[in-house]
Amino acid sequence: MAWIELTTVDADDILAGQPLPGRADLGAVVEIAAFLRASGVGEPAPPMSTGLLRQIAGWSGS
Amino acid sequence: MQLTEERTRPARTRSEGGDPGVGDDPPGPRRSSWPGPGQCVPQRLAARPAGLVHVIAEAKAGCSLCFEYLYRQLAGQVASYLRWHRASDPDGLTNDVFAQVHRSFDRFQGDEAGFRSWLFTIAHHRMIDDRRRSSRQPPTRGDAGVEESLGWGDVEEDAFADMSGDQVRDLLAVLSPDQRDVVLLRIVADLSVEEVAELLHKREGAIKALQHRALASLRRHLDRTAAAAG
Repeated sequence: MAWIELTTVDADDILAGQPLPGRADLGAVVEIAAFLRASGVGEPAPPMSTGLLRQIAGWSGS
Repeated sequence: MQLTEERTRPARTRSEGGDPGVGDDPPGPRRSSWPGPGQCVPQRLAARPAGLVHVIAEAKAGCSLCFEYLYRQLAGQVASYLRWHRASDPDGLTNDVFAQVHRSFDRFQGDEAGFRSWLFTIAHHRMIDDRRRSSRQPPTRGDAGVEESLGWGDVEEDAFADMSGDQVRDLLAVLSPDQRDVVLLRIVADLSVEEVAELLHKREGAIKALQHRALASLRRHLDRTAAAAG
């Protein structure tokens, strides 16, 4: 297993899709992380099923 | 619960065209000025400094409008998480996840971060159940179709013009299941190391090590691919 020199903060930045100064070697990995993050944020909510809508409508509170 | 009914109404129905809350009497406690004219109850709640925490509280107390608002805010991320995990029916499973949230809301205690963590814990367990079910069935063509379901706008498409969902999906396949879980929970679900550790029943140090190894694996694979491409 190849190892890379990274602090926990560096790893957090990469996972957040933020490039690390002086670490061009990780640029592609950062792009992947940014792509994944954008996919999550950008994906629209799927339509609510009739079953879920019915369940919510029948909500009686707690 | 396996939902097989036709999904007939888009999730955004109430928010499109403005004023989803006007004229509706939320089942929660009545407030004389709530909702005010032209104001949407969940959006007004979400605009407070604490973000979704008030919407979560009202949804838990029985406000169906608030629950729908939560769905619209978070279901896309849940569907994306399930899709990257190659769930057989990400949209249907997302509905199942929220149905379980609705049924179990009484048991939830916490803030917005806690809700997100709880939501993705349910999603993660649904994904594992789905994977088990799928492994018992004969393989079918392809998988969940990340590419076809990425409903991004032009800006995102332009920003990632050189990258495709298939490429990223192939890269994720390089990772071990544990590494993939951690990467998707950290990035797509946007959970902290602490939250992921709790969700996966591992120590925080183990999560940090897994994400470190995942990043190393991705870099190594990308370097090899680049070298092979010349």
